[in-house]
Amino acid sequence: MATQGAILSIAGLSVSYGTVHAVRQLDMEISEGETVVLLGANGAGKSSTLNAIVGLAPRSGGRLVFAGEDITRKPTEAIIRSGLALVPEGRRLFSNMTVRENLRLGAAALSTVEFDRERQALEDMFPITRRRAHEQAGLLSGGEQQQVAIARALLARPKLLLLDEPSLGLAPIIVNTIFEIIAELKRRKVTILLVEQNAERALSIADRAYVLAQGRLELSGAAGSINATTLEKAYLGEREHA
Amino acid sequence: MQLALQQFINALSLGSIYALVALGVAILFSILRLANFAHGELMTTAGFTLYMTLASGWNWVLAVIAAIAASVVAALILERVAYRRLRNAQPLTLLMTSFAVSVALQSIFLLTFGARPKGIELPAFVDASFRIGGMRVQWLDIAIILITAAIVFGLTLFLRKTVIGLALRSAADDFQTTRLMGVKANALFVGAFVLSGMLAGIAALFYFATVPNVVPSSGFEPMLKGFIACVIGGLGSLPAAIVGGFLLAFLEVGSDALLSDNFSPYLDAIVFLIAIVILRWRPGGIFGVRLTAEQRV
Amino acid sequence: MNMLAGKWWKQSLVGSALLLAIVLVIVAIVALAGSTTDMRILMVFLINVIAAISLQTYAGNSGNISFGHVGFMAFGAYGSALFTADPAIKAIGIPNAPAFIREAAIGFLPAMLIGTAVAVVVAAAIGRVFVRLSGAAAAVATLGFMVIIYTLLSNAEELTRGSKAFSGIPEYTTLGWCVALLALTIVVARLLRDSNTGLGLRACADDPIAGQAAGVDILNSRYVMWVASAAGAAIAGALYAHYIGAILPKAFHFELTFVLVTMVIVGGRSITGAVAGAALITILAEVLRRLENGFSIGSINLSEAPGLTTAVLALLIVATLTIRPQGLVSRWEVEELLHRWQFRQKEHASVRAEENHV
Ligand SMILES: Nc1ncnc2c1ncn2[C@@H]1O[C@H](COP(=O)(O)OP(=O)(O)OP(=O)(O)O)[C@@H](O)[C@H]1O
Ligand SMILES: [Mg+2]
Repeated sequence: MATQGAILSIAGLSVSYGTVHAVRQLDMEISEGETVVLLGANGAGKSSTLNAIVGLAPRSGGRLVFAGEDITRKPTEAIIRSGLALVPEGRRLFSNMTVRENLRLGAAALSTVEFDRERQALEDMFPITRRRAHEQAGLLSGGEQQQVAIARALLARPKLLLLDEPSLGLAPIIVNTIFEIIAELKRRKVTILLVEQNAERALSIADRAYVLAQGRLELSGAAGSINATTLEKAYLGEREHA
Repeated sequence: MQLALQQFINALSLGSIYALVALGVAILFSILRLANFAHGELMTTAGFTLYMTLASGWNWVLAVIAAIAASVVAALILERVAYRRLRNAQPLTLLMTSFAVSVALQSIFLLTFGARPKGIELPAFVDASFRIGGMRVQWLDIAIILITAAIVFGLTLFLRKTVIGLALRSAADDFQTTRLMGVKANALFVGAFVLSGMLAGIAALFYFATVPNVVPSSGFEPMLKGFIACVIGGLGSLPAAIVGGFLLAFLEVGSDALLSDNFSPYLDAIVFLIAIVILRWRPGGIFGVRLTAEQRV
Repeated sequence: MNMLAGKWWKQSLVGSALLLAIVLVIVAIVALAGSTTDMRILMVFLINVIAAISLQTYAGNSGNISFGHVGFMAFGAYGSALFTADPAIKAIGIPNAPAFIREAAIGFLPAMLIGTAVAVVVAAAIGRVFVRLSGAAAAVATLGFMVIIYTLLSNAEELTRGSKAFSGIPEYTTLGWCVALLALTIVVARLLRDSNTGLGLRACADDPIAGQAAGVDILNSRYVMWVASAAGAAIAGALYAHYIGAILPKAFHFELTFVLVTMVIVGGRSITGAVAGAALITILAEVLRRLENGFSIGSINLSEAPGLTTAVLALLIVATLTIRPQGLVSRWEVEELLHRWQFRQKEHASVRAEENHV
């Protein structure tokens, strides 16, 4: 059922935490080279979706095919090793380890030689990882931490990068930096699934968009086809369901 | 002065043993939130292995290797049989399981070896000593201190320089995110148990070199001291475990030196009481470690 | 539930009565149909239940385990034994004890109260430390406390005869005493559990932040439970001493701790759970013991292999915990279990009725 060129296809995905149904019957598809944005109000189930893709959230149904491989029943580490990377909400750096150590873990499957090569390739794009390599990650500012977190996820050269609210809690000027980084990644043909609250900016960068409300797919289509009014309607759709 | 120096060496040597036990306990606790009360039985396993191999005339080097290997294997068996299925269990359930495992192992030792103490035929060099001025120093104490220092150094390097070492550290901080790095959860658990088993084995060698006989319950006392060292240092932190181990040893040797002989049977009670007083003021240990009870795996 | 019923203690009393009734049925069956051995097992069971409920009063409410309560049992046992044993025996056994102990020969109840009072004083003095700890740190510290008491008892030869048995304790413990004190324990434990203190504490054990936000004073509430549970444990200890007739420090060590703590954990987080756990462990241990004797009919005498029962028991406990980590009755008391069962029956019935209708 996976369309030609789809790197990830999700069919009927449901996530529930006990009695809380966070995601219901979600269908989604991402093609190679695309930048897709997943929008939704707080608690709509965006993080749950990303976490379920990598096997961290409890899936109660559905099928996931990644790069032609069924990953539905695989453990997190196997999914990651097959070429997915997630930058989790809130960055989740290992705060009392150094920046370099954080990066090394991002490339856990690589040898030291390979790691050094990949790291040097990334350092131009993320100068912070060179400048503050030996500082404790927890001491960096939020924006700097976000850059390290993205760099850490890129080290293993993922086929698909999942970003969960990278602009969360950052000052507007830093948000610009983060979006520039995403734009640069897009230019480099990295396939991205982006979760964002900042709908306007996210839509301006994305090729396609999905909108979740109350765990259900409310709207999907080309990013350009979605404007403030349709978006608001989709967000409001959740009230009708409630 | 000389006496004080002698006591100091005693305390360092004793502290080394406690620190090794405490480290073994802390590694499992930091990564799995598992308080492995069966750590003492890993030491007893090494003790009985030492007894059997030396009694049947093995070379001591081989006996030492066999003892450490036995402890590591026992640790791995525990991981596979008892703890793997309980990774998501409540902390209290985990605690009780380890307690039950400890009791089960003690009973199995009792069935296999009986209750009578088994004397370990230590090689003669264990008693060798030398003199500085009027002071007699046991080579064993010096060896214990130096080897422990080397182990702590090696462990530090391992945890800082190897990927699995880094992953063990990051797992102690945030297990889920460590898995997001593609690190296998099983590898972490196995790695932690191997380290813990090795530390138990080495600590057992030193312990039984100073107390050369083994009974089924031998491991209980060093295990409890190792745990108390961890708790007064700050449960879950490796440096705190080392500091706690030495603190406990210095308390013990110090109390023994200061109090009259009448009190020496009560030594453990006194030391534990001091430990409890410390906890009264610093419930999180002297380093005040705070750990989240977040879910593993 | 408490908020709904105007007088919350009514439900506590009803629950206590129900639980006591169940225990009494067991007692009656064994008393009427059981052998002397069965009677002995029953008595030990009743004493263990008192100890387990006492431990549960701390553990079940606070969510903290204690490995130290056998220490309080020891206080009750030795305290009561010292003041009741025949002065002639004490003159030989503990000639160096202070005169007021050596010459004392008081009744069961006052002696038990002395033992309990000692336990309460000690518990009150050290309790502040333990209530501040939680999780593994609490377990380790209370285990340390157990060792402290054990070390004291085995070395205070003038008082306890050291690690030798202290015998000649009058065998005052009758079935009547056991049942009466069990009833008292159940009622007090239920009242404590359902009181605002117990309710708040249990809320905190489930969710510390929400509980504290609701204004629960965790430390003081735990402290109350700690002292109360020490008193209960001491009573159980006194009953034990006066039942067996001889005690030694080793009796209040690792093994008893293991038995009690398992009863509490395997049972679940309620008073009913403590009783259920005690019953299960007693039955398991008894079945194992009989099997072991059964084996010994052949040429190999397995009963000479101490440790087999314990090993199997410990493994069974590991198995139980893997299969049912929340304990036999989870968090429920007996009347709550009944309600839940009735409710389910009704649901079934209504579903069936609907089906018939269609
Ligand atoms: N671990 C969990 N346990 C129980 N419920 C959870 C858990 N994680 C999320 N939920 C619930 O699932 C629903 C969806 O949460 P999710 O985090 O996926 O939303 P989100 O779209 O990422 O929201 P936000 O924009 O606030 O990050 C919410 O109702 C949330 O309360
Ligand atoms: Mg989210």
